[in-house]
Amino acid sequence: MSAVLHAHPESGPALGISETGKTRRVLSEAGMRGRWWRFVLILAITVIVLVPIMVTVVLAFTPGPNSTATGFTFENLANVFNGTLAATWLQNSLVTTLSTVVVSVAVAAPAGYVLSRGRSKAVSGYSLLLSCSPYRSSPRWFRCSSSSQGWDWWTTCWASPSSTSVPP
Amino acid sequence: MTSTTAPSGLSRARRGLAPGGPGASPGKRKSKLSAQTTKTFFWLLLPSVVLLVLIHGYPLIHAAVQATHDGDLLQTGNFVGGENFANVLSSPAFWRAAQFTLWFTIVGVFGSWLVGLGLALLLRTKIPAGNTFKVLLLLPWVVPIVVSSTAWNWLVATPDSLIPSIFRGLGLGTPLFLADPTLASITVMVFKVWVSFPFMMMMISAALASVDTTVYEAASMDGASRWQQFTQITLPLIARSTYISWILMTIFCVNDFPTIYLLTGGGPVSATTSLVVLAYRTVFQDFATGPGVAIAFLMTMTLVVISVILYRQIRKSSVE
Repeated sequence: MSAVLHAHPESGPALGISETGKTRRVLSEAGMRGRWWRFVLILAITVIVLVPIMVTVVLAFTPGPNSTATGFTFENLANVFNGTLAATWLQNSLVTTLSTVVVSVAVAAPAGYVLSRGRSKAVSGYSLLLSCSPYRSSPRWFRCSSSSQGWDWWTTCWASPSSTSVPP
Repeated sequence: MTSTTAPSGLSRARRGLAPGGPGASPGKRKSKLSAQTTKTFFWLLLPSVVLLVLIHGYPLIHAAVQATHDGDLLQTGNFVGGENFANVLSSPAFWRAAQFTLWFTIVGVFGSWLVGLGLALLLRTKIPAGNTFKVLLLLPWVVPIVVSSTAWNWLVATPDSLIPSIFRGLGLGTPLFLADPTLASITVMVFKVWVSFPFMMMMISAALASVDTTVYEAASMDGASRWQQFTQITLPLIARSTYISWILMTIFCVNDFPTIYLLTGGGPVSATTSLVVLAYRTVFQDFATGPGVAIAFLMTMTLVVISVILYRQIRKSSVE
């Protein structure tokens, strides 16, 4: 006979010990019921959460207002790949993503080591500075900079290494 | 017989000699080691410092210049000191945007945290196809914001959209989610929670995975209720991760431009204009660079203070 000893509050099934003393998992009836209730709950939440994404998928395969097609269609996807520079955009995204990941990891990994091992006030201060740096409203400031001569100086420098013009 | 050999470790220790070599005092060796470590740390930190200065330093200085000048998009203009800041702080639009940003951040951070915590706890239990649900629930975070905002627009924008139609079907009228100022604010916040909760769920799931389950067994044997176990064990043990996720989500919410701009454009009647959207409009629609950048500066200063407070809280929780 198995005796239910303890039902863990957050792990669901109860632990049982058989007469031979061998520990094995025994799901009580209440445990099984709770498990299926949780399944139904998470299923309902997932469906609700995914409605906007399902809408996107449905819209992608629905004919547009100027289309002659009816019902399910690949026309939109075909238009994207045939009528636009989607391949170039994809390539741009990949190049940007890969280079960002490589540079970020190469720079952040050594710095992360120091921040985790260093105990000095300088390291602590630098850690705080790093944690604050994302707070800078960078897109806006970059846009502001890009609009005036400042960003031009940047782009010139990056575009031609020989350029030695100074920022205004 | 006089011994000329090196003294034993014990006698060396009694004489205050370091084990490393004859005559080397512990202090000297420590300082030598410390100097080496400092040098290594310097070289390891250098790339990040260079990158930080290049990417953040120059725009920051340039923005500081712009915030103290009355220029526009084409020229820097004349030096006006703190006039831009004074004008911004006396503007009702700034305080309205600050109020919306505050609510947007509070709802965004704590709403996503609560939903993420609930789902992380639910997914921690044994559920059929639990891993599949984990992957599916990450999708709102993974899908590009442009795509999801288009989908949300399609769901709520017009009276004939899906969600207003459901409300109408239930006899609750036809709410105009993006036309009514209050409903538009609520819709943007719900959208933000929808986008952000998977991130919180991931953070909390990782923290929960590191909690030793024997702690719960011990607490259970001591007669602790489930609620007590949650408040006295779970929450304190995931506190560090919680503070970090709060800091990150605060950054995401305050600096969030696309979520708001793509869904409502800051309207109706500026009801969903956050500080970021206001800064953008000031610079690119009113062509007033100085006040726009001044808004960004004020945001940054406020957030740095919040960051320092939360950072100290993290350190405190890690010491405890």
